[in-house]
Amino acid sequence: MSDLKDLRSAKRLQPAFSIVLLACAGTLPGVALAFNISFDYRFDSNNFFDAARKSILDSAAAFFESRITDTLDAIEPGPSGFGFDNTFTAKITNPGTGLAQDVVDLTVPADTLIVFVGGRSLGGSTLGQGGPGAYSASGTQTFIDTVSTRGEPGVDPNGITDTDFAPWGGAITFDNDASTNWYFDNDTTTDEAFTGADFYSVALHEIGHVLGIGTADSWDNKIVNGQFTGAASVAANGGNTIATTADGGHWAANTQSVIAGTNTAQEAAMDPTITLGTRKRFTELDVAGLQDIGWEIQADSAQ
Amino acid sequence: MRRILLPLLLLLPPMSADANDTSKPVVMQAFQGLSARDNWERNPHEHYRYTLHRQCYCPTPKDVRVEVVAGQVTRVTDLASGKDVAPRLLSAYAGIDELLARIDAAVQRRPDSLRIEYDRHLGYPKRVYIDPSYRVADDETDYRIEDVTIL
Repeated sequence: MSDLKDLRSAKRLQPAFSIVLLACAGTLPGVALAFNISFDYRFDSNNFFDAARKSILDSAAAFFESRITDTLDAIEPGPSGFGFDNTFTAKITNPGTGLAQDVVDLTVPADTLIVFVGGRSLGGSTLGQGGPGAYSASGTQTFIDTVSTRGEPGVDPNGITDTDFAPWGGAITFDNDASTNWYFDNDTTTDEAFTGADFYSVALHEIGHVLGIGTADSWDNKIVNGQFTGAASVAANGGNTIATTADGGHWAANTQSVIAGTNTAQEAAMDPTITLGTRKRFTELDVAGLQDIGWEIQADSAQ
Repeated sequence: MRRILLPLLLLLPPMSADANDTSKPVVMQAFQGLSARDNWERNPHEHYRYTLHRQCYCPTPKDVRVEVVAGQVTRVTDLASGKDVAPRLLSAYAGIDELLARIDAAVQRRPDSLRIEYDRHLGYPKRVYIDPSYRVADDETDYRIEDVTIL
């Protein structure tokens, strides 16, 4: 944490000096620059992503990177120093095939989530699906703890009493069949009329699931009789608990809030509804949901 | 009276599907399965309509009337607007046979949560909830079917 503070201070130094310092910090083990969502396209076997689509996905990730300040331990499989290896196998649904996929000995840098992305036909007219990955690991107890909690004390390795969430990453699949007419916006900072399904909105929604909305144990632990009771979310909802869908995977349909960093009313991004020709940005309620899951959130910034 | 009626009934010609040709009776079949689903699969319903209420992370209408002709979805009407769904989006909807196949495929994948109810008479899946993985969101299959009309 002190390393991070030092780096933030460095950003206020003279430009030439700060560039040198940041470049050095980036090469040092255990020194992180910021929370980072890193996309991995190795399973995009149907070639859904081109440069423009990757850019939009990065724009969606940038919103979360601008708000989340957690520091997460690196997962570095390899020799343990005790005569055996620390092993880590990430487990996902392959975005290109829909089948179970292992990624053996995946190294996850500090403060980073790795998200495997790709496209395939999802059937019906479902636009996307996503969530955190699973894993298997062996090695020292310290290594196992790092894999399961990434240094966050609120994560219960048994998944029962979690108040925090710190996955290694996960996977997102976008629909690539004829049922979806995507809108790919090369400038997501502006709102203009369009037709089709807004890829940026769906990317925000699915990253929200990777970050635990509707998927984390610490999310489930705050649902009582179909109502989400997290303190930050209740505060963002005028002091009232928030209805969820029956399976707890989303806010209930047509849940209202305001776009994060603004006073502009909008349906929450993490309810299960999306309309053609409409952009849904992350709202204050959605951000509060992340906070209730356990993510450390810094002040508003408009999207 | 009963003693008289019985002999009269025995004199009537045998029942047939073709009332004009009693000399060639048509083979009729009747089936009542132990499994409600058998009632759909053993009866070749290819022309029918049904009302679908579904939950999905999708932009297409969720409450619709689906018309199936020769086993293919030929028309879908949005119940909210009363308008037909564009033809290119018909592929987002399925006939009962395809829904049954999807259920079988999902069960094979050992889903984390599974709830299926079949209509006890016609055997179509009237309530389906399948969550393949708790760790993945928006992958759920969640729908109700009602008001099935055989055409």
